[in-house]
Amino acid sequence: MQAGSGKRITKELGEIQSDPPEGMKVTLKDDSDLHTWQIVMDGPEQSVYAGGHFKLILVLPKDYPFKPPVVNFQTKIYHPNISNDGKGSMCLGMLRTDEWKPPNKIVAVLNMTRNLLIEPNPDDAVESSIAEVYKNDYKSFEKTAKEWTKKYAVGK
Amino acid sequence: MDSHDRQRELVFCHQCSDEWYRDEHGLTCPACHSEFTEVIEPDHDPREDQLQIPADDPPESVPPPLPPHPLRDHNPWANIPDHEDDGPPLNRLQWQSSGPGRVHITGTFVRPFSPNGSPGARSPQPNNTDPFSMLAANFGQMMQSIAAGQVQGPGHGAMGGGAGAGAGGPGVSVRSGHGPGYAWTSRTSSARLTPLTPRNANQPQPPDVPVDDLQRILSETLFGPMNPHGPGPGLRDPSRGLDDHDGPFPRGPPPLLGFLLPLLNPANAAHGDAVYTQEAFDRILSQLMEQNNMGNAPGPASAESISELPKIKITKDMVDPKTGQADCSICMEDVEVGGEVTRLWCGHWFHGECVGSWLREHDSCPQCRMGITQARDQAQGRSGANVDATATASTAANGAPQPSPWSGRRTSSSASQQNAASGVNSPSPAIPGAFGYPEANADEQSRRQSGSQRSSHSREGSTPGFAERVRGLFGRGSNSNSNPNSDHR
Repeated sequence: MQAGSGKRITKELGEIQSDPPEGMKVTLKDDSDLHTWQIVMDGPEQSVYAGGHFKLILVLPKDYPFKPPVVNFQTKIYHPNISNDGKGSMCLGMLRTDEWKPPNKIVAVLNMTRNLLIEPNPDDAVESSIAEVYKNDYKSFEKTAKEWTKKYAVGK
Repeated sequence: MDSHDRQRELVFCHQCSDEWYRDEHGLTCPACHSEFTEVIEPDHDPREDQLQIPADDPPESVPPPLPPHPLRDHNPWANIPDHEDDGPPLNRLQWQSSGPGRVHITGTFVRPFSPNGSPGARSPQPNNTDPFSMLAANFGQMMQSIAAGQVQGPGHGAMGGGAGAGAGGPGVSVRSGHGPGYAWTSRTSSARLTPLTPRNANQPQPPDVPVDDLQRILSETLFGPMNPHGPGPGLRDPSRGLDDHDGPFPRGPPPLLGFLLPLLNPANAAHGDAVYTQEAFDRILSQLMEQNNMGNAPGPASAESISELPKIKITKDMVDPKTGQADCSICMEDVEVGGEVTRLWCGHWFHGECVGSWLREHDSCPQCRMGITQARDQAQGRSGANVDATATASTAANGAPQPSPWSGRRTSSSASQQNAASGVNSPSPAIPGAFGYPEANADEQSRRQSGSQRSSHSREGSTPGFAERVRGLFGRGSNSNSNPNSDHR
């Protein structure tokens, strides 16, 4: 279903662009490449990332929707579930190979990502040290997260 | 083998285990005058029953200790009553421990013997032209039996002690026997002699397990293939050490220590899947996680089970009543009423091509994750066939999880009757094996081929027009099923 895959992506992109989820701007990184999406996600108001604009790259594999998309944060973010290694790999349950199912839509992935910013999941952390701080010393977590947001995600 | 021997019948006394030729002493035992005797026949040798020495029944993996010899299976104790009798051969063995792992056995083997095969030899076997090699073979075999713990009898205590002394070391036993006119030496490792084999509960059991065996079991359990890390330095596998060096003294610690040491070493505190420390548990856990990269994702579904999935036509009931539209949730393309889709056993439907691509990698419904193989089996077990016999399509669909229109009928009609009905209603081959009772179905298919629709009717005698009623029930298609389209919305 390679041909169908392109059709589905086009359809999904159209739906997202005509009715974008809250606080998100979705574009193709390169108009000729349907498989690489660029998303600017506003830090949710109720979260420690409020005020920041986070750039994400969402890559759809060739055999999408049979394989899950891959989401990376290009903007540095202090978050237990997003790797702090320059790649910004995000750990999201539904994106794991064994959790993914084809009917999942990209808009659902993006909404889950946003929810993850509102409510980190320290029990399934990529950055275990950040998860420890989040669990044991939330004040410190909040402080660092806000600092990073200000430093990396504001005004860019 | 001379023909003379072959013709003479040998008689065996169950009382005293004596043997004699029938034409010489008749059927009464010349030794004890018992009449409890039996003629020995080539295919039935009562001596094998009498004696509990499975001399020709070594564990399969034991390499024959000696080259094949006509008398290899000969039982040297055939004429010696085993239990109470203080039979000479075993007691005459001298066991001498000459250091850890080294046992000296000196045995004198005396028995009446005549190379001519006269009754004195008490051996029905021919070809005993080389008495010394025969005796050597007998003795070697006896030693094998002893080492394997297959011998019962008064000599066993002595043997156990000998084996115990041997087991204290690496299990290499140097055994030698000599008698008047011949000498025999054998250097064997207990590891080869006593491999782990399944216990044969049908055979008499040795009264106690030789220490050799226990040691091997322990070492295999602790250091065997189940422990990927193996023993550390100094924790040399005793049984493996045997093959590495010839010296009678093992380089590792004694077996018992070897058994205890791993328990004290946290890194080795694993006994198969059982662990004793957190460290070992963590290691096993991470190992398991590495092995199962895909987590609990199901493997691919079989091509057969995919092809068995029913293809159905989209009906008006399957599309969204408001928009009049439905789409395949995989490719998100609209499907028209009348278009053909593939329905899984859970009721979710997709384009055949779309769901095929998924199922070939994952045996699960893309929507609800129900495995199609599993669901099919459940469907078969629960409600049997559910036939979708619309006028346009004679394809069969199985809406198992939903309350089936069959369920009411099932109480009164047998499974084979259902299958009969399915045969009536879907003349084209339906889903092979998709019915609840494959045998009955196969039976029914053959019946169908012989054009026996009438017979199924006749078995439905109490409900005339049964097929029509079924057709009526299913003519409305999937009305009775919940709208699958709504499930993935």
